[in-house]
Amino acid sequence: MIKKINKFLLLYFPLVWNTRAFWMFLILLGLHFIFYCSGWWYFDGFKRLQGVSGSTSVVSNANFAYALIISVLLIIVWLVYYLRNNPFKSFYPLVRGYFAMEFCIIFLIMMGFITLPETYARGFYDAIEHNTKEVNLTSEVNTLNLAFALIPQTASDYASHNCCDSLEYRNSQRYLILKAHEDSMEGAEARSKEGVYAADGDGDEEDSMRQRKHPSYYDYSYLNFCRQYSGFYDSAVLDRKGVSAKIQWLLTSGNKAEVAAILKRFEDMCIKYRVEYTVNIPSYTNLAFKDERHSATRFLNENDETATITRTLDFAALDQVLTKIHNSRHRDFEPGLWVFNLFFAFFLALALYSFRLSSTRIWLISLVAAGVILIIYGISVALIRGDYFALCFAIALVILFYLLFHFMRSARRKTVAGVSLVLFSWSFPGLLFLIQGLVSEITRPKSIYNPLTFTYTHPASPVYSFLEDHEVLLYAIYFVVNFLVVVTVLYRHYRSWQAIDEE
Amino acid sequence: MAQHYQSGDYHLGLRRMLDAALETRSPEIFEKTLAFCQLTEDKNDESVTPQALDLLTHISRAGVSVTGQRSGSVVSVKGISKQYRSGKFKLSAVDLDLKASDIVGLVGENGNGKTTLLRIMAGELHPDKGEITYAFSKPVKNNYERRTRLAFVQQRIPRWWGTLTDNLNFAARHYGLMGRENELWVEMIIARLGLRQFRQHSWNSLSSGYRTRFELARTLLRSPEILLLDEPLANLDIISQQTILHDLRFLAQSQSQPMAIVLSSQQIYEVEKISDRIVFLKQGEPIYQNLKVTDTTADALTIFEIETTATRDELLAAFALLAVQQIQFNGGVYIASFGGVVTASAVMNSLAAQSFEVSYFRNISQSSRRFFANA
Repeated sequence: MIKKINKFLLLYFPLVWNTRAFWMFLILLGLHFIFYCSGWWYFDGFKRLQGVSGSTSVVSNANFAYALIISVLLIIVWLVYYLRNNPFKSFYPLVRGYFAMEFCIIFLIMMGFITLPETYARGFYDAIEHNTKEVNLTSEVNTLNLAFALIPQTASDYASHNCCDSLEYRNSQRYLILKAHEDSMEGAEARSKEGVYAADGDGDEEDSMRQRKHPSYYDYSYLNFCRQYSGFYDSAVLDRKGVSAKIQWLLTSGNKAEVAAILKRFEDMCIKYRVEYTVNIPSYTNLAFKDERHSATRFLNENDETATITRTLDFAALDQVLTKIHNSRHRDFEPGLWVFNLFFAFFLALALYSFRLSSTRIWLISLVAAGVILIIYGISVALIRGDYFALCFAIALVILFYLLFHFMRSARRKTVAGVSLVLFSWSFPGLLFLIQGLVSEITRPKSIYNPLTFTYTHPASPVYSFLEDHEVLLYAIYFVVNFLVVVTVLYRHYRSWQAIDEE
Repeated sequence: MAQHYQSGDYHLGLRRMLDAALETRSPEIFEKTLAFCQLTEDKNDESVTPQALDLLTHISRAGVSVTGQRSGSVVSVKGISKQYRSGKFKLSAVDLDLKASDIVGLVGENGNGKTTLLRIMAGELHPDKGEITYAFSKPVKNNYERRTRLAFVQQRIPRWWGTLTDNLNFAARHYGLMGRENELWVEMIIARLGLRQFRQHSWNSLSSGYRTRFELARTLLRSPEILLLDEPLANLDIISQQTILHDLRFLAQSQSQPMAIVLSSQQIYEVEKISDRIVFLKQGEPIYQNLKVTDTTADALTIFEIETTATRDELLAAFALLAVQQIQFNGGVYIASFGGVVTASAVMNSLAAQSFEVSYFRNISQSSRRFFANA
């Protein structure tokens, strides 16, 4: 069967036969299936949701390492077959589009290997989604956030200066201006003349004033709690202030039953998601109502229970579980990641393509030359500091490679022309990035300090803003342009180089 | 061909039959010829003569597909010279003019510019002076395309991977042969070059002689208009040399796909048997260009090559009556030059009269061997 398929490909589709593309695509299809299944099986219960990466592209380092090892090994085996016969170097007539097709095949194979970890992650997250259909994520996130407030971790979470009002004030514009102003003043006398603070005031006076105005000014009180441990961009999930308000309502209204219910739900979550804990969670119902100030300090100080709690109740693990369930339901298309993958595959394909169209000797010389040029470039940039110089030098190098190729080709210096061409092949895809960098540097608006408002302002720069705002889109366009250059123009240079009659 | 079979020259008959079948370019004839080849694989003797004659009838009915007949020059080399950067060697002003079906033999000692000239003609090297004009049947767009039309078989055959058949299928496919047609052509060329038993062999399992044959097979599938061969006989045994050379003669004279051939070789006698003209290079200088093999020497000498136990003085004495002008000895054989026309029988009679032991004797008056008197 394999022989028959090979014969058919050889007699009808020599490029597919020669590149072993059919078999490679088949192997890649199988590999992606295996990786998907592995990802699916990697989810062997909720325990697995803890401790692995939260990335939707790479689940774990081990998975990434397996993909890397398998890819490298298979690429080596493939190259052994692929590089065997080269019709280009044998001067066979090649049909229109042959080079474009060959590059596309190499690119797709590279892309197939690069996306293996993502397939694994897709299997993993599909399994999570499949197995957590019944989970009410909003409710569980709210439970986690409320329980986190009721099971104290650190005393500072309950300090009065961390209450929502204080935080809000401290983050306000007026506070920031005052602080900036204070920092700029030198000495108490100067400050006194400005009349911003009383002469005997200190830096935290404003905070103290805020605290005294607040009804719950007691330190280490549940009422000061203002944190959101786990939060997703979902309106139904309690935000930082919402958590605080709910806690305050529960405590001030003395709703012990509701507190007990929250902690019970939390304990159930810990059991369901196999989060290990040794703390007696129900006991916190009583602790929460122990005094009128709803002080969290009492039990924090009792028998050094803080240490015990942090050791034995892993909120972070529970958060990871909920984050993964959330990610499994909201796996948005990540254009930045895909542009990176495309460029990575493109560069690998280009490196191989240049090897295919030049010669081993030329390619290796180019590799060494590239290393030497990079060292010279690095030293030059380090000596003559400046982004403009670095960018202009890099652009000049790309242009130099191109001109050198043409000059040497005319002079029939095949080796130098070949090295120049390979170096140009490797560097030209970066040209658009370099030009963007240069334009960005030129149009970057300079900050202007306003001494009246003590702030910096940035004048409008439409070009700079456009480059910043549409970075991923521009990269995608660069990719398309570079790809088109390779499949429509670059091969012509290699063809003319290959046919040089040497001097 | 019928005569070959009737007179018992079955192998020669088969080769000529394959040539004739290839000329038809008919898939039907190819199928029949390959079936016959299969039959002869077990026994190629008088028992297959009826089938051979039957096949010959089919071939003659199919006729020859004449597509490539041309009268003008295929390649014209004018005043080509080349000096390497090292400056140690210079190829000087070579002129050549080849028509379709022409065979030019490049002869000369090692390091005299044969390979340089072939590489220039193949487009690998750029000449310092002079020009080469190729007149292909279809115009070429660029240098790469020009080189796809030239077939240059180097002395050192480039390595290939996979099986022999796969490589030939691959080459043929790039030259437009697809599917069953591809298979038939490849099988025919394989049979023609005596490679049937090596179809599934790889590079490593082929001797250098068969690698040369493979390269020739691949070249033939490319249907080149100009075939350049650098020392094609170097790796072949004496029988294979003769077979290949005669095959080249037939291939050059093909009615359907004639080609101009330039080949370099040290095997002077063998090359001049099939060459229309000889170019003799010495120290990069073309001593004789476009020399027809039948040309006599400019100074009308009669030259003999003799291997004998006699000494130079004894030979001079023996040939005194034949007006011997010069006797050269290269350690192995004597080259005896006589003024005017001297017959071989007269020389042999003189040797016999002295009872000299003679192990080798050849008249080289019309052979380019005479240019290598000291070799």
